[in-house]
Amino acid sequence: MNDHSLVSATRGFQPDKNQQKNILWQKRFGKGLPLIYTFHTDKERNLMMPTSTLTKPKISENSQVSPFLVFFLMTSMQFGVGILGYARYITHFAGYDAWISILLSGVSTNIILYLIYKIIERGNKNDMIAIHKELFGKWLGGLLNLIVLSYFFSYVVTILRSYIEIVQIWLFPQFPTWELSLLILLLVYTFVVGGFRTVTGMCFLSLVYGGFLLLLVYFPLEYAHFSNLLPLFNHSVPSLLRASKQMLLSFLGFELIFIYYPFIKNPDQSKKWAHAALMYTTFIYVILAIVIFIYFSERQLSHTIWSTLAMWKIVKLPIIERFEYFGLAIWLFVILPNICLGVWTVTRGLKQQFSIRQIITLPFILTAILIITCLFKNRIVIDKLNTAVSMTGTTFIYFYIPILFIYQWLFLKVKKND
Amino acid sequence: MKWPWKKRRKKLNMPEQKPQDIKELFKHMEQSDDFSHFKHQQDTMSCWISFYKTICGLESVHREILPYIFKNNVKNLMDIKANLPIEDTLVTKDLRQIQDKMLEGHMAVQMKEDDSECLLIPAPSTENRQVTNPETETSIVGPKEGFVESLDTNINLVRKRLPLPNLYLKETKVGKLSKTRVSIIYIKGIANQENVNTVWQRIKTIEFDQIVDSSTISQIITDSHHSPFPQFIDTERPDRTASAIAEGKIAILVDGSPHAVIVPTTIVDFFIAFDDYFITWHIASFIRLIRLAAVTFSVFSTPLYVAILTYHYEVIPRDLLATLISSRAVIPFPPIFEALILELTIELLREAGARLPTKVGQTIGIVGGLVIGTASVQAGLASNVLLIIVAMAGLASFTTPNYRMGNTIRLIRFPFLIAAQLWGLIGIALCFGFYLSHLLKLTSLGRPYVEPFFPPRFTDLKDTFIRIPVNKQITRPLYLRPEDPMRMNKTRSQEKRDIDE
Amino acid sequence: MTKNKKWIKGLFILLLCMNLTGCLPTDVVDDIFTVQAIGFEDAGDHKILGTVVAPIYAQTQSTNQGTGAQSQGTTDTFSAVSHSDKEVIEKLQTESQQQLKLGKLTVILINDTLAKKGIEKYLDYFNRDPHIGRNVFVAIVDGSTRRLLDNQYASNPDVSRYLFDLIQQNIKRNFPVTNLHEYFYDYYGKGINAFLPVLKKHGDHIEIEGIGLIKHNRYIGLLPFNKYAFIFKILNEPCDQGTYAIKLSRHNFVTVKNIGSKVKYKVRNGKSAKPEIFINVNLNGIITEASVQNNPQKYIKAVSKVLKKDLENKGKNLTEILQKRGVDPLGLGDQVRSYTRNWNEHQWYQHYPDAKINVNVKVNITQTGITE
Repeated sequence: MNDHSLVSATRGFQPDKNQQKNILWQKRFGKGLPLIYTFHTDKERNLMMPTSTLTKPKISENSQVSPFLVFFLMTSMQFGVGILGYARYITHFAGYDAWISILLSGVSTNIILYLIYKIIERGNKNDMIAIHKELFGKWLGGLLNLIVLSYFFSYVVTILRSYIEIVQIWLFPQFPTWELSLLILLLVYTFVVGGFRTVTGMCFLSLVYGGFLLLLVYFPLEYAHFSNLLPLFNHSVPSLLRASKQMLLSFLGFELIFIYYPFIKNPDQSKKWAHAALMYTTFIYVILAIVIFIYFSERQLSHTIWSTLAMWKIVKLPIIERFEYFGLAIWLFVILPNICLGVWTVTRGLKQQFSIRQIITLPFILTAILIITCLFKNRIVIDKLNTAVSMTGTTFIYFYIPILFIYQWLFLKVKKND
Repeated sequence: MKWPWKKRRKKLNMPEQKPQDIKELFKHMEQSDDFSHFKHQQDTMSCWISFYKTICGLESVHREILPYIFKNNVKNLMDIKANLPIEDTLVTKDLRQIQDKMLEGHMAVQMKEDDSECLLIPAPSTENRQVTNPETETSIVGPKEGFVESLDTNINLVRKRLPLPNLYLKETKVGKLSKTRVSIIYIKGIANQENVNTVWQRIKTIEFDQIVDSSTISQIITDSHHSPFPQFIDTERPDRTASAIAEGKIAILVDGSPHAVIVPTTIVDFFIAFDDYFITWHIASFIRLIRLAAVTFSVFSTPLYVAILTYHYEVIPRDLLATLISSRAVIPFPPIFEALILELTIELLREAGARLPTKVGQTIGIVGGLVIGTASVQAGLASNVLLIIVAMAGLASFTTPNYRMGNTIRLIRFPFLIAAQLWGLIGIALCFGFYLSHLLKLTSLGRPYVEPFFPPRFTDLKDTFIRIPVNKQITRPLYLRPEDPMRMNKTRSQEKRDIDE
Repeated sequence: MTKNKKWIKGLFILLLCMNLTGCLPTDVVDDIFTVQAIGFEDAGDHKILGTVVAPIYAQTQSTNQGTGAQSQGTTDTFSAVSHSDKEVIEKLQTESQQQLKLGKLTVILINDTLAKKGIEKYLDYFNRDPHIGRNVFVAIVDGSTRRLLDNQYASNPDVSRYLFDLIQQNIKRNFPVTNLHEYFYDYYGKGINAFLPVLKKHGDHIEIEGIGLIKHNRYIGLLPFNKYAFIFKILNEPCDQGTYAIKLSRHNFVTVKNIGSKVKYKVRNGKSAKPEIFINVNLNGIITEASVQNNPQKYIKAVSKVLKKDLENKGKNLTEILQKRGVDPLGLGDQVRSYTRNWNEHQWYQHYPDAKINVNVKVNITQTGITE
């Protein structure tokens, strides 16, 4: 009788050693306080968490990547075109206190990442497609999946179109959009057909190449005005928050782990790397923002659309002047992982949703991107696209994910009690 | 999709003659004039002796085999076999075996001409080149031995460097016509068995009529047939082969080829000269870094010149601008043509130099380099700045220790040039992207080709561009998945001594 | 898989064909004229006269390669009159043999009468165009820019080169840092006004006359170079070069070389009607040129004392002039902002003339050269 009640209270998972001892104890001495209080470790708590009935996805080890590469997958996905001009948008609200807003955004993304990992773990390490289907049923879940995938899709379009725009303004005003877009998408095709590993390789190498560009912050320091940062906290909290909301477009991209999670070897170990990645991104954004703030005066910055690029104008090396031309070419490798991983995610999502082979959907997705990038003709429209995607992304991350988290919890609890 | 001009060819059947009995076989062989088939008559017995004069060592036949057969007490094949001081003799009735062995240099002895049973005595001639210096991978310090065209000598060279019972050797014959002996060598217990199986399986399934050289094998069993990058390294140095085997790699030796093919390899191996291991680590690392810089320069310098001069004059510093413009002022061609002309000239010089005998080759180099270069600048066909760049790029590409990789580097800059002309710096970046995607997808024996870089494995970085000291190289390359990854006992080798101990 | 690859290959060929027929427009270096200096001046009747200088590089002499001599390039100068700077450049193209390209621009000159009417509208184009660098010097010319540019100078036949080097070497010494970026930093900055070098042609040479003060994008006056450049520089920024001559007594002059000075600002009562600003300069110097002396210890002390007094007086003078004119090229307002919460730019300019500015110079003479 006693046994039964104890077991029923812990239904759904194996009673651990301590509990077994407790059971023995109670058998001998009757009901009362348990002998040993159990302090659960994380792992045990995970076991106790209501889990879904989904089966664990199986991905062949050949296409999986090491957990520490999540660091590169996340950071390279976050660095895109946003970093070229983000400083201007955030100073609009928080002036030169805006670096605090970056920190705030960074902290909040870490919280969201924690939720994402929890959602995936409760979904028995499945990707978002499967979790949606489990939680909302075939039709509603499918619809939600399509919405999420189309958000990822538009994210890719934004990045690509913005890059092309910068190239057109800076290097080749006569470069036809379709041509550059086609070239980049062909390149993306060659990466994505190589599978997730190749895409991860691109992410890894892009951070190496992009990391080199960070050294360039040394040159503007010659014209630094450190007093620009003072006085600290000269802006109200709401304006700081508004700036951190503006900052979010630059932080988007880490939510793609919802889809590529099953491709990580020993995914439990990837957690720390994922958080480290977000911290690294935050750190880089803050450093870069501070350099931009001390290089430009506030009103000057508000007139500068791509502040990071404009800053490179001052770089002068013995055989290269005007580094922004090289910088823009190298920047291709910073945006490539965005597009590659984004496209891969969309095709993978479609495969999970409709079981269409990725090799078939890929050309169609790329063609669609090509056509859509050509439809955006001028700066105003592109800016609108940016804002729209940023809004969608913010909503997705800050509203939808917490809601999903709570809903999943309730759903699994109710299911269990049935 | 079928191409109209690619008509399916009819299967060409070799006129296959399967001799029915031994008489027919010898008859067939006798059509070749170097086949000798004669009756040996003696008091006690008579026998038929047949062999190919050209592949049997006549001297050994005369001195070591025939006298024993001519002895009086010999009565039958078994007696001959017992008398001969030669191992590996064989009495058989198998026609196939008889044919194969005789073509390898065995001589056959029969009691009667139509007797199907015959004794096969090995008497192959061992015409062979002396072991000499390696030709393409020369080194200043270190061993001076190079492989030769004989498989057995080559195996000997390797085995004496690794006197181990578990240095395993597997041999097979490949090629419908050439029947070339191909063997793979590896150390059991270090080399990954999966790698061994893959190589073995790939070699066994080769369908080709003639294997001329080890490069034929490496071309056939390579992972990607369309890649400009060589995926297996070939070396003519037995020391390099031995050390690769000791790392857990597998060497493929082919009879008739003075090159061993080492599998699997990564891109880094192609930029390592074996000399690097004979000098101290700082110097070796410095030289490797120079080589890396040279390769980068060689590939990118001309495309960058074209891109910058065609589209991005802004990045040229003003002092350099004066030099560049004044050197280009009278050139009638756009930079791309100028660059292509000069690059092709360099390629011509290289090719001419390689094809001509050494002494003439040197003259060609001097004539080409000095005369054509100076003349083209004076005639206003090429700018002197570009001439310097192209010449330096050519020079830099020669620093690649591996000949095949050098060829690849020669080739891959041309797409860069075209991309630079079409889309400037963006074009170069795009072109680089295509190469990158190709390299990331490339495998060597199923192992990633750009390994220590991606997938990043930091322990394997110790022998790439920086070579750390030998006594710190504790592990074997991990991408090989060696069955025994430790090169030395870590605790013993890393023991720390106190001062004055 | 193979089908897809074929499709891709087909696309590639298509792409190549399209590109080989219609390339992007090229700017091959020897097919363009790289404009290196541009000057604007008032042509009356609301028109401006623009002058550009593009060096013409002579070809390398293939015959005298042995000596390696490269004949000195000459320059080509074009001028045109029009309503706006963009129009001027368009008009100039009609005169030029090759396309004029502004990507390597190094000097922008504006004539003083034009500068008095407003500078920003001539510089906006250069701020906007992505091809223009930021290490471009902007200067005001006392007199005609055309006459200044269209002239052969003894030191360098290429006038743009001469101008660039002139300003650059002076920035390394006594002149405060200026370029296009710094100009726009100051121009857009709150509580800070821009300044520009003022140049004048003196026969065969060009001379920096002084620091041109800019208020609300108009040129309003000049600080003479000899009198104020050094003090302006050490008050404006840390510097590690520059020389300064002082008078010890009637016939006794001494030259002190600055080997590292730092400036620190302190602000009190930033929001009040009478803000108090302390400018503390810490100057390390060496004596480079001095007349004979007996007691070096005493001498150094004496020089330090005189130098301190002299610089403090000059600083006081300078700030008084600036306050009187109502311009703030030192960026005192910006310093006050950084010390004051909720600082208001408009309010600051009302308080600025009454602000109390204290200049404190601490002189530390470290050595007297290799002789005593």
